[in-house]
Amino acid sequence: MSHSELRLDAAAMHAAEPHPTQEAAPENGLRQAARRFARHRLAVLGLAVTVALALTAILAPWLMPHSPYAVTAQFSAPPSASHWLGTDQVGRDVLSRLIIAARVSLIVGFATVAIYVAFGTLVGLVSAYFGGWIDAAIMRLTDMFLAFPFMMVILVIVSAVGASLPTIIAVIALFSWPSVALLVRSNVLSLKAQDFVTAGRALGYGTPRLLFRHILPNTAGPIIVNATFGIASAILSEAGLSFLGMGVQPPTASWGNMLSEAQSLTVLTEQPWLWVPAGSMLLVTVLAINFVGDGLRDALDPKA
Amino acid sequence: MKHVLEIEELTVTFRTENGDVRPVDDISFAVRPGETVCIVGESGSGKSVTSLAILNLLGKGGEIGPGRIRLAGEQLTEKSGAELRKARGKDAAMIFQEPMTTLNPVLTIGDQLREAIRLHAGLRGKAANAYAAELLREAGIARAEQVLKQYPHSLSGGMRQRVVIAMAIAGKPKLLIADEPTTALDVTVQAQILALLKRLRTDHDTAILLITHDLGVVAEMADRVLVMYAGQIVEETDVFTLFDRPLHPYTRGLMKAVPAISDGPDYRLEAIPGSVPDIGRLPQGCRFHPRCPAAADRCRGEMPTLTPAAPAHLVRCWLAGQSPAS
Repeated sequence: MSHSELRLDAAAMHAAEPHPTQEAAPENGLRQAARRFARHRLAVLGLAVTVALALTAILAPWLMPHSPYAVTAQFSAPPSASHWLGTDQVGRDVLSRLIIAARVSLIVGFATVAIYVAFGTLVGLVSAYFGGWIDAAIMRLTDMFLAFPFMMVILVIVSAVGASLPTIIAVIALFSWPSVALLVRSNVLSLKAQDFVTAGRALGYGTPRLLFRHILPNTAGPIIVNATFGIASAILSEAGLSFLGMGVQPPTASWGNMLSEAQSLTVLTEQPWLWVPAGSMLLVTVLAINFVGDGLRDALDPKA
Repeated sequence: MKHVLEIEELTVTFRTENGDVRPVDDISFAVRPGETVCIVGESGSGKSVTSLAILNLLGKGGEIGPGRIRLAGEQLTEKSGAELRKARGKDAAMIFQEPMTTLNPVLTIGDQLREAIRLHAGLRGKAANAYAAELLREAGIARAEQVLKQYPHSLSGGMRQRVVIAMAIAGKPKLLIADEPTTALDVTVQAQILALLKRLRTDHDTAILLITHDLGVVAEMADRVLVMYAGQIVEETDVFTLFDRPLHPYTRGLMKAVPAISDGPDYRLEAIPGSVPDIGRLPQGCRFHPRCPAAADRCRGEMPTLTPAAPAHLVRCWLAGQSPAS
């Protein structure tokens, strides 16, 4: 076999100069995700409820019929024309407190998640990218945090530091980051072995650029889904702490500390206006956010 | 500058639980400006590891050394991480086998091109965008402005490989390392991509180091050819000599395993018996002797060295001098 024959072979498969095929402009990732999300009725409903709640929290001063702190002479009065949801045990308007409490819940939900998702993501990225002893050390620390009986530790910290909104946000965040760190780590471990990362290194990209610009956006979907469920669970944690008196302190209203009034049997059985509204709001909020999370999981999952 | 790339006595070692293995064992070669050098060999011959080692992209576990790599006149093996990073994309750029996975799926083509341009050409904003479109057109993409806004998943394999090539030439590298750039593509697209690489070489005097197992690609592209087997170079010569007078029995085996257009319908291709040895358990003596039709006693006991059999024709075979090519 000679060289010239091979040249012929190669020339035979050598079509005319480039004729690249062009496809129609595609839908971009965001629009596609929005379309998938819209297919979920419950998710859309959940999103609507969440937006309504957020608006309520923001516009609270204009929506409240009374001051949430003003004490009237009527204690534990049943619903009436002036107090649609009655008054609480010290004579404050329940509806007004319910509205202003949306602020506490949403602030706790979003602030906690913002803090711990940022921290957990960073920890997971660093752990997975550098590997070796750094990874081992970080993972053992994560295991330690996961092994803590966290409600007890939170109770201890809150009683030591004193209950306040920032404290609650800080302690819930302190015990929530490990799940994000584990999620990000496992995603980054598989992403960093992909060709586009090697290709980026071959183009001279440094580690921070590869981590934050190339690897991180590829794991954004799961992080967003995790964060959404995290908001719901942080709201529940705050309610639990406030119910136990370790959370938001009266007179500031929170659905959790409003619920704590139902600790007496007479309230529970005879004055449902003191606890049913707060309990319902918690239920509706958490359900709505979880529906959004479910919708996002399907919308952002590339394999779906 | 006489050579764009000079590799001297390069060895790559991977530490495994079963001891050290050397997928690249003492290889030396050089690439001149504007020259296309092909490395051919079967899977496992060490050709891809060689290409990754040049820019130190082996990752954890792969150690380079002893040996020296000089790129654009600078000693890469003595550089720090940051200095080495500067050389990547600027002095030498790489094109990989799988265009489906070498682009970041969540960034648009424009984002990815502009990033490479910002780093290597120092352009930003509108200038970067214009240069990105220019690079795409140079890579043979007609509606460049539109493609810039698209995501990789909406492009065909051939288009993606063009984008990868456009990114690689953003820094006007002196050397393009292409590791099986056409293996994952359709035959017609293969021919287009090879034509594109050829044009880049003539237009910019870019040297190309092409890793392939396809002798058709070698014939089409190469000025000079290195044949690798089990981590070693077994034959090195210019492309015409290689196809006309291959000296190493392995090279001859490779030639016989390729169909020619003149072969009749009943022609049976010859295969080289056996397979590439496990680099953890290499045979004594010549690494090819268990598969070699001409193996003699000397081949079983003593490793041949890479010696000139003719001017500019190196071969690693004890018998090369004695038995002229058939």
